[in-house]
Amino acid sequence: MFRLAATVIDIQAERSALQPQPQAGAFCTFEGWVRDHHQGRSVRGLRYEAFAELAERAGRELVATAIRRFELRVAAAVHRVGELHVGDIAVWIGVAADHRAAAFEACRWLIDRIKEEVPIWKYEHYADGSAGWVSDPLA
Amino acid sequence: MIKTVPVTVLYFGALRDAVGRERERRLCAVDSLEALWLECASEHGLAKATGAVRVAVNGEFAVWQREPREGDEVAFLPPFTGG
Repeated sequence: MFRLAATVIDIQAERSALQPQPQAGAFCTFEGWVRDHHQGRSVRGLRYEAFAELAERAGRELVATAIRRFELRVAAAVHRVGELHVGDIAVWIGVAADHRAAAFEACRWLIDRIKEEVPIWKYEHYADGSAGWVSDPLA
Repeated sequence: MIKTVPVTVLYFGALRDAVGRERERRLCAVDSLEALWLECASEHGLAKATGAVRVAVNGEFAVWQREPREGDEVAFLPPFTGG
């Protein structure tokens, strides 16, 4: 229910994989898109790298926790690794619950936690030709 | 005689770029991951990152006080920027 993907995320396939859920009345999905700006700089694209073994473990645990905490029927998340262009889908999350409150909350919770707890790093390519690691602790 | 244990250290992201490689084998003679980090940081010029780095051992998050053991794979992780 959590995986890294080296190729384009097929959102219809990801969605279909979570169905059918006849007891669920609500399905929420989040997509993180690559945007063209970061802290005032114009971005051309980026690269995601991961510590794969730990990222997959941490991501699976987060999804499992979300299912328990929000009483979801099913949940899944996929995060890209590799080179992405502006407009690409970087991360996809889908959750299904009996009612909408839990679905909305779980979806929000999952993206927030993924950003904090999963060892993935973003390297941005800027329009002026420069590039660098976001939140570089050595900068 | 100081006890030394062979470990493998993994570097990711900005740390890897600064060190110039993603893994190195070391003989560890210190008794905590924190001390191991300080040693690696000193050697590779990573001291500025102290405090911002997290550590994992054998694919799981670990605490800095943990003692390195023979064959451990220690990963130093800069701040996560996924999602």
